[in-house]
Amino acid sequence: MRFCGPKSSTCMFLLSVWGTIMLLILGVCFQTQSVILFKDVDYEPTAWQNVAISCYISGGMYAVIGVISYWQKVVNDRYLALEPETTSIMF
Amino acid sequence: MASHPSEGNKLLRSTEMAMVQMFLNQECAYDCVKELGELGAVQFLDLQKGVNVFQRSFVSELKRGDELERKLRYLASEINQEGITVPLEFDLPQAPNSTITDLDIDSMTTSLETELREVNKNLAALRHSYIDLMELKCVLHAADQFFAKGSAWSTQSVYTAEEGESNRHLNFVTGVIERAKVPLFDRVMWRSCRGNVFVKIVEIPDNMMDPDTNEEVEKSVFICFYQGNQLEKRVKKICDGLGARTYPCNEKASKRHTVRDEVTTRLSEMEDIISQTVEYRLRQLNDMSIEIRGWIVKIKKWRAIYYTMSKFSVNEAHTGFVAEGWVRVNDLESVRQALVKGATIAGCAVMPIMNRVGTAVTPPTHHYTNKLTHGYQVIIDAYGVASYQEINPAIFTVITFPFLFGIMFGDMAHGLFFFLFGLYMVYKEKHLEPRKHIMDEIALMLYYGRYIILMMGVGASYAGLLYNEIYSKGLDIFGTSWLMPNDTEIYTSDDTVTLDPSTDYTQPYFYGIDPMWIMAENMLTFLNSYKMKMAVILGLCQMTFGLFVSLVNYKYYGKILDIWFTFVPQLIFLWCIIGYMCFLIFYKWFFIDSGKEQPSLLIAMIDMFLSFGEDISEDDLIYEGQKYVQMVLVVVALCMVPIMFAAKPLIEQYNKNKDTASYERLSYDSDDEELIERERNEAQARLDMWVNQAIHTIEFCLGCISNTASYLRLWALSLAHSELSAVLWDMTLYYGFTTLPWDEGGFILLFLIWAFWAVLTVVILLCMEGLSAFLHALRLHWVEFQNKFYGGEGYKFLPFCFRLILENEENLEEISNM
Repeated sequence: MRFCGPKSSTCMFLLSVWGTIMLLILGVCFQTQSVILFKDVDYEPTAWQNVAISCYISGGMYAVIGVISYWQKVVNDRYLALEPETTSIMF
Repeated sequence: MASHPSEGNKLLRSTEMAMVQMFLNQECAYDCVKELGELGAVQFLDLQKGVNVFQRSFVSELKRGDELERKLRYLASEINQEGITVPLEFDLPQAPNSTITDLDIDSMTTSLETELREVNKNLAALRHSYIDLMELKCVLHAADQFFAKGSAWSTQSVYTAEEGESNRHLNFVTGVIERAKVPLFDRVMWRSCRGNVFVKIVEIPDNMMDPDTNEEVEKSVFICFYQGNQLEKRVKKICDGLGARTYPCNEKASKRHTVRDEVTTRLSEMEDIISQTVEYRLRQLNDMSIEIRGWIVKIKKWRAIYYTMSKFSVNEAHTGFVAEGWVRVNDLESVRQALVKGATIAGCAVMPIMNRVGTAVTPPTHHYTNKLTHGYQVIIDAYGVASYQEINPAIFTVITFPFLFGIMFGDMAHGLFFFLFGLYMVYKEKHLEPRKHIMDEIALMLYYGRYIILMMGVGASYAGLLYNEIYSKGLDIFGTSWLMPNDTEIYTSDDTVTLDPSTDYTQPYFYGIDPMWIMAENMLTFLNSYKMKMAVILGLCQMTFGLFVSLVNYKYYGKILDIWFTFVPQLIFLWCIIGYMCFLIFYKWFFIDSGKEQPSLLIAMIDMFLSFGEDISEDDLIYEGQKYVQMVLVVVALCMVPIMFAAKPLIEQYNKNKDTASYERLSYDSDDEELIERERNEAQARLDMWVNQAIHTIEFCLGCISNTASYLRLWALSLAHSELSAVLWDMTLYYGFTTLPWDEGGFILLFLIWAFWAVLTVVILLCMEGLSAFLHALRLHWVEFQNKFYGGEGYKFLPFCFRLILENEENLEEISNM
């Protein structure tokens, strides 16, 4: 049930949130053919829409990863809350 | 800690300090010092500085404290070795409530320590015996093998022929040796006994733990047959020399079996004893671990109090102590109250006396800071602690540091990440604060700088808006000001279009760089010029501000000479050269048409000095009358140099002569030795003054140029950042978009490439570039800004405070190193 540690699940979660937001916004930019991105696309008119769909799907994939890593984060938090926090004697 | 002042300059200057003298009675000294330690407001002076360590008061108490601390350290290390942990502490440890001797801690610690050492020793001895018994068992087992191989090894069978020749009886020695030494053993035996001994080795299959080193060692059993006394001695010596342990072994199998049975029972007994001892030890350590932290705190406080008291001087009657120390002026009342409280706790009839005294010694520097300003104060203090009551650069750094960082970083999205990261740490402050001690060093650095990171994020986002950069792409928020031609042919081909600013440009873009530049081929040419000019202008602003801060410092210290003959010439010199350059920059931006060939500012500045007095050619002319204006500026600037160099020393010399003139007329004898000595000293001081002035003058004049050029790093780093960002996008995400269309799996490629791009953005652009921009912004503050006004020769106010001592061990260590 728990296949990621606390650090990697938080990492993946943050990365996926960033990825989802950024790729979805990029998808919108490609679909509306914003000028700034013209270097990233070939010259034919269908290319824009193509890239936009790629972006949307990748964004969706990141959203799925995000949900999974959030679930892992919750599992990790519950797991860690059972152990009391301890430290060695500091002198 | 003590209370903050309610009004007045908290951060602009260091706070006013007062030297106080306290008279403490012997009875109440300990409690008063304890109360002062809890308060943490006095920095005691060492009144017994020249006194030998062993002649100070309280030597015995300090020795006892050291002993106790050593024992506690031993106990703590034993506890930690077993991996016993304790719950995290969220509150500061409590103050000790016993007063003078803490005898119970002393006796308890000593008894625990001796007991633990006993237990450890016994455990080691037990383990050694256990190993010995194991080895004996192995020997007995192997002996079965030796003697069971038929009568060939039987000692009596060798000499069956002749009777009465009992001296031909073969003896043997059995023992255990490390496997690594076996070949050596064999060889030595063979050589030294000339082949007259017979050695047989059997390996012990299980490895055994060496109790001393806690490692596994491989061992073998050996049996060595020899004849005669001489060989016996030799064999025994060799065995001793090679560290082989010999065990007695009987030939007869029956006797061996009885011995083996005994050994087995003893071994199992030993195992029981050892496990019981280990359990007992662990139980002791666990019990100790619950209370040991409290003891450690108490002993540290006890030692700190006695160390501080050993700094006091004793009055003649040996009834009381005199203490001197620095106190912040705002804390004087609280210190008085703490003394009274200490005296009442001790039940002393005589109240301690506290007087404020005047002194010629420079007081320590202390700035009142809060959570936000503390980080900035730390990075300023890292370069040098401010002199007493000079203007503190940290207060300006709060805004200028994030701003300059932003100029060098300049990306809206990256700035947003910094901001969010800082915001997260600030939000989780209360949660992270007590867990500081278990953070690793890098995380701790980031945590301490959380407010700085927050502000840096704001600065970077703002600069990103200015540079119109988000992940190296731009945003068209306000509508571009460039008019693209309506000829649609060109939009389908690969050709470039040239737009002329005089015809294709409407009005300046509302805020920031026009997004059209992001797509231009000559973007870098334009941006470089823009960023360099901006860097120089910002540099001039910060340096001028630094000069005005020096003016405020001179006024505060009453150095009128410095105002007229250091500040004014410096300002004029700086502005005649660099200020004029910035004026030219603005003039060229505002008043020169874009249509014609642009005059170069660099050539203008160079020719200002090299072609002094010559006419300026038509191509290089920026404005009418330029030649004469520049001549005047150069002459004025050069005139400032001798004023900076000579004016102050000459006037000071004149003043001194005027003061001593009347005095010198009184001494008639010019051969007086004292007079000659004084004159020599005066001459030396005069020379020093001139040399000092020369150094400062040269430093400032050359520094004008070099510091201004140094500010160009604002341009350099922002260029590096935007280029890195662009290259990263073009080398990774570009391929994610263009390689495959979506129905051929382009989205999987994009998915993977985006992750790669994101990781590289974090590692290179955020971490590496962020650190780099942080460092350079800091350097600009430390060197280019602060060398205009900063003295930085103060020392920090470090009061005697238990909280400080407990939080960082170094305080007490350097104290106990006296």
